[in-house]
Amino acid sequence: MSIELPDIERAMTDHEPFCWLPADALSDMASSIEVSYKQAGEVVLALNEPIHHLYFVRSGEVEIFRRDGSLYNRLPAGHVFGQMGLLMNAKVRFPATTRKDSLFYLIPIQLFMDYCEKYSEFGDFFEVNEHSILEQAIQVGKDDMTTVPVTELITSEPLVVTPDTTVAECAIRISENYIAAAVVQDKHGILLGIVTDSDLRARVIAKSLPYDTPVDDIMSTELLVMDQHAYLHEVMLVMLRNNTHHVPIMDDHRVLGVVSLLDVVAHESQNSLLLVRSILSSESIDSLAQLSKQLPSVYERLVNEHATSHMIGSAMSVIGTSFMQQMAKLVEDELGPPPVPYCLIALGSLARDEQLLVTDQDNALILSDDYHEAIHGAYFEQFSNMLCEGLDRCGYPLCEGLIMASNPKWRMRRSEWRDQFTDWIENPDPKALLNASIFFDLVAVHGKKLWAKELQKFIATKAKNSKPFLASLARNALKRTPPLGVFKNFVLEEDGRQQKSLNIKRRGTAPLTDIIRVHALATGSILQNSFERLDDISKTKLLPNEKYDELANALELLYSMRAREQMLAIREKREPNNNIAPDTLSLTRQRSLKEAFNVITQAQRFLKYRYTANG
Amino acid sequence: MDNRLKERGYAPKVWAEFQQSMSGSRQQDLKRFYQAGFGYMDEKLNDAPCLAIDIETTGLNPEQDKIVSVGLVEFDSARVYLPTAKYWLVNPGELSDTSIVVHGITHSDVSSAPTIDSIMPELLDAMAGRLCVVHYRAMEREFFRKLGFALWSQPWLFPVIDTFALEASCLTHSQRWFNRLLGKPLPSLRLPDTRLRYHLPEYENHNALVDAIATAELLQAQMQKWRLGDRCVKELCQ
Repeated sequence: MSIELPDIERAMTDHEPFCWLPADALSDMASSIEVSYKQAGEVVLALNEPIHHLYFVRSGEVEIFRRDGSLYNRLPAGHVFGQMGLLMNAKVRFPATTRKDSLFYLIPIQLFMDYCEKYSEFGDFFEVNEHSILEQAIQVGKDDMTTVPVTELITSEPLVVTPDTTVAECAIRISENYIAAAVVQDKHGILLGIVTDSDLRARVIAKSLPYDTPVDDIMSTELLVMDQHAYLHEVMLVMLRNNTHHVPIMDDHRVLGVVSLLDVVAHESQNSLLLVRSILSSESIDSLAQLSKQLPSVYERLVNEHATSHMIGSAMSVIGTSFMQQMAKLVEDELGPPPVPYCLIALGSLARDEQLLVTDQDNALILSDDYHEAIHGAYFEQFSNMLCEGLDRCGYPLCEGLIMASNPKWRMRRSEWRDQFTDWIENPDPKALLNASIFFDLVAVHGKKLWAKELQKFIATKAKNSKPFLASLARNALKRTPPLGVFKNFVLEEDGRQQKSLNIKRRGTAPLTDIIRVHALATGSILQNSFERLDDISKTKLLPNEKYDELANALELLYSMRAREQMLAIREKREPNNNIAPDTLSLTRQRSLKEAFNVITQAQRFLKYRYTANG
Repeated sequence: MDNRLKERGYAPKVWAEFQQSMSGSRQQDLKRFYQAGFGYMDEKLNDAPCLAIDIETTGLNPEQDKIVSVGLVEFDSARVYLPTAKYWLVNPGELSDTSIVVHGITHSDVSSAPTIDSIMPELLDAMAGRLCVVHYRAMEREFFRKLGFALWSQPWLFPVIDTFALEASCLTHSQRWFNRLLGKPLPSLRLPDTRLRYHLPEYENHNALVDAIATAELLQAQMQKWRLGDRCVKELCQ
């Protein structure tokens, strides 16, 4: 007796390769499936064990590993795995573990083989994928940054020297080994520092030190190290943020190797990293403006590489920060050094590491307390105008709300900024705060970066204890509701092209980041990124555990949809914006979008109850 | 016969004795069902052959309402076996006007369907020797009790694992003592809501078969989360 299982069929029909099957074949497949649930962190397939089914991820997420145990891929709902094993002796080639609670549909091997024969598009899917899987498993260069473990960049054992090695000997060994850096360890194998090519040049030759100087005297000791489980993109970001070129990769206390900027560049030419390097070495505003034209294609590539939204946001933010930083330097070159120290800060999405495309510049200046309007005012006015106009030329349009350094209101002394935040927090006026919430996400870009850190800490301490402030902020966070109707249908507006759509930023990511900001400030977190804020909040008992996952998933979904829509716009040579027409999405995507909006509605309800109950 | 077996909510204290007493039934189908026995009662839940079952009815009152569909699927701790899935629409006989449409099942759908007594042999065979799993046992138990007396003048009762009750008891045990003290209510135990807590996907359509599959998936999830696999079925049954 064959039985109809429309729910099972529907779950598969939106996804490759099942979308290529005729209806009756899909129906037969559905009734031959076995279903299996696995909690997060459980082994689904172990290397070399027999495999008799193709696995379809119905919900949840799995991690697929290579033979050597390194991470190969992460597959969310809608993907299949296990085909390699089925095609090669029915033994598992790529082991799999659940990353989230997951439900699998298992398709029997006979049926799988049968369909590969019978339905060419179905079969092609696996052939194409099998090919690319093999290729990717062998070639490192083809993988994307999010899934490449940094250990793949380590090509040789580290060159180890002792602290009493002379610089001359160290230099010889470095050049003999064609290596960029030597690792200095004590006799217990504890890492003390590293010596690089450029250290030898800058600290020995340029200073005419004797060649028998021990490396102990010249090595870099303030080291940034990373764990062997880090991914390439994480190392890349660390290098970019700290302007460091060599990062030792550690297995606990043991140095596995040193990864250099060159290694990373060689691995990932033509990417965001390269763009950042070009930005930071740019010598004129014109050439910066020229470089900014690469932004869309870098962005397109990031999204295409299936980077997570956190990663896309970070990369775009690093790029945005680099433009600001270099612009400030170039303007300083032109106007002469600043008369008093200052700190250029970025606000909003850039500060949160959540920048996508289509976002105007939001920035401000923290000035030294020695600043005097009459004496220094003219310099900073001119500086700010040139800065903001320059950024405008680089594709960061002027802020309509005038939250920019070029607005005299947002050039303040350190003490004035503290007073300003004190005023916002102690005398909260929801209206005033509506425009000010952006200031509660801030990050240093250039100059006296410490001042921005101080300000973050000041805010975190003060905000936490002010109930009326949190209540006002919460009330504002409730103003933008997700676009769901009473019957869980999408509520659409007409966009510029007379198309019914919804604004996924205004109605999605913005309200969600607002909510997360309130919780973060309430718990005294000084972090700015929404995902990291969630992690921070989760250490308190503010929300039930599963809520963090819900919020993070909703945020990831909304951001990635925004990113994807923008990417498609670039590809189709349209002006990217934040509007999405739900009709253009697959049913599955529509459903998950609704689910994400639903999470926002619930989170807003909680926010109202938690912070505004007595107000 | 023990008259309490007719009472709503009553279940035999010792299932093995009850099964013994029923094995001699003169009803051949029922006799086969009871002769297959409840052997799984002494096994670990991990090893027990299970059968998720769900019914849809014209209403909640077993005295006057009728079964309109039955869905079931075999499963165990590792897999839910969709090839074993079975689904029947049942002709309830006369339908009052108010219940013309039940869960999308229309009068014309069921008017041509078999009556419940004609599917009984196949239903009983599918259930024989398997541990039945339901979500909210009052429905199946009372409707089947009633059915047993209506068809054969005999009680048709069997042990079940109730994922609804299981969820309630697991949640109560894991609830912090002060919440328990404060009498904090448990979250919703409805099937879709309970499934969400295990990150199980939503099903759009509800019919007896989809809900049976959903229940089977839920028990797998509950077994993993609360480590029930090594527990003896007897301890978890009702």
